[in-house]
Amino acid sequence: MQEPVRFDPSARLATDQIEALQRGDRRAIEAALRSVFPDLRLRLHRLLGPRHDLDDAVQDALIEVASALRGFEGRSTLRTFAARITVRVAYRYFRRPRVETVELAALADPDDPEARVASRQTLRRLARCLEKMSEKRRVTFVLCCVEGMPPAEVAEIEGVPSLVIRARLMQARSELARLMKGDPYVDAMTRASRGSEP
Amino acid sequence: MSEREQEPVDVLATMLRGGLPSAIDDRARDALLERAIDASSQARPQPTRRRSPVWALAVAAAVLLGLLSLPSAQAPWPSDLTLATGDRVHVVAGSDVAFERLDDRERRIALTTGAAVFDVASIEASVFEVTTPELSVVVRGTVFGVERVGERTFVRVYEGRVEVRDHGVVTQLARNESYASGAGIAPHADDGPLERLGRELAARRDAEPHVPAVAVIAPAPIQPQIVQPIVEAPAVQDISPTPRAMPRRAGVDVSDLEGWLAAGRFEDARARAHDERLLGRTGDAWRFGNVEARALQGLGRVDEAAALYDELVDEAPPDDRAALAFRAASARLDRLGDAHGALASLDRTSFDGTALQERALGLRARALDRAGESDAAARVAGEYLARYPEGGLAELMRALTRR
Repeated sequence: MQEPVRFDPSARLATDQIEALQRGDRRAIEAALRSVFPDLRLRLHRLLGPRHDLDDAVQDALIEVASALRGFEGRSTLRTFAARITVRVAYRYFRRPRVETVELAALADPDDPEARVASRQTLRRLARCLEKMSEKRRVTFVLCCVEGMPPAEVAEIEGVPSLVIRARLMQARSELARLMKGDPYVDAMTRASRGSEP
Repeated sequence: MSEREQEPVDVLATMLRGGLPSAIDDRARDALLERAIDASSQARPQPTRRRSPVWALAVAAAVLLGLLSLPSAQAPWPSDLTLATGDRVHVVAGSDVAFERLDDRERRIALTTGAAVFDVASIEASVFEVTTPELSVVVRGTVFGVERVGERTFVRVYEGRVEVRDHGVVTQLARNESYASGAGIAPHADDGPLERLGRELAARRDAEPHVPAVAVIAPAPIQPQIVQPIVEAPAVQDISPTPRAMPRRAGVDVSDLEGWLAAGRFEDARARAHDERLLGRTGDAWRFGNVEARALQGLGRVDEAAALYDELVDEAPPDDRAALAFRAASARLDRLGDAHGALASLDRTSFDGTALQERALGLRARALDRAGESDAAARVAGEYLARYPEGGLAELMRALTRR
């Protein structure tokens, strides 16, 4: 029985792994896709918001990643490589009309129905606000603030200087703060995180 | 953007982070993967990218210009600068080098195009830093070259040791080793337009009494400008990424930690910034301290944050002291209700001529009022109104003067 092939998406690949991908080795490509799949789907969900064609976007991104792996030279990690393609696919889907919105999952304490309703309303509002933002700012906000990527890595993914990403991040934060100002659930959460103020 | 605006955004980011897509079972996932592999293998192989004749002409012209602007092999030494500290910088003609900061404590140089060799005197207590869009280099006494080709940076060490931080991965380079951004280290520091000079300078160093030499290279916290590549980057194979003479260890820079803060990873950022601050290798300890203090604020440990900001005021360069003192004072007054503490923080440095002058004056008036010193508060508020009659705090200051 053959050893299962494993890839660490956050590490630089070994030469034999890169060669296997460039050869089009099916097991290697499948292992590489499997390693980036969870991040890729979650990232598309965060970028595109709740929508029914999420898995269409995931499929498109996987096909593009699989095709591009044959030219992968190992200069970046698989994670960054896949993120670059995922973001590109997301830009395409931003322009597609949304057929139907999916109900958002509640985030708050499941034992507190009021909090659950409030958080769901806030999330809905947040999704609408993100849609109002420019695509570039939205991508920057999701990658930097939600996913915690350093601006330098986002700059590499977007192919722009990191100074541009920092500027977009500042604009995105400012715009989102303005759009979401006065949201009672966010205000309550903010006060709770501050701890002291009423 | 004010601090007050930032915090709700972090709450929103945390909410968004917690939202998961609808669950997908293993069979559906495997089907997606399989279809992707099948579709990609059926797709026609991508033809070799061909540049249009216009592009080919443009690239040829650019390469020609680049060659004309670089010295030939027989050319004399390139431009030679000697800084007041005794450090010497040899720059290839046509390079774009900016001296961003030159004082007793810090020398920061940005290299965006071309190549340079740096012969840095042993300076234990200060910082010598060179940045490129891919890397930044903090040095204490060594001879090394930095070259930017296309969008990659090559570092070659001719004498001493170098520590490279490239996207969070730290690599130490010994003498005669080189590093390529995105590829790793190679055993021989050869090639490069300044190799001959670098080796000669290293030989001169050898003849001198031995001085311990250490250099640290970290990821670039700044991006000075966009540089269009004029030549194709050399193939990765030229750099031979596999040999690793020195151990690697994970590392972060201030911008990484700021990303963590932006993502609400306050505890991670605090712990890492604290460690980096204590290490204090790069002379940027206060910057890590600043991140640590902001993380403490994010964690609700405002009193600790304010104390740390106060402490950092004495460590930071003069230009940055005002911001730290203001943060300390603001946290003490608005979050801890400690008016006397806020006044003490404001007294730690001068705000004259800084961007925070107006806000610091307003804060002082409010702190004095909160401390029960109404007369002094009215006097400072009057001073504010005299200077900034249309200022953002003018209404509040008028109210203080009326009391």
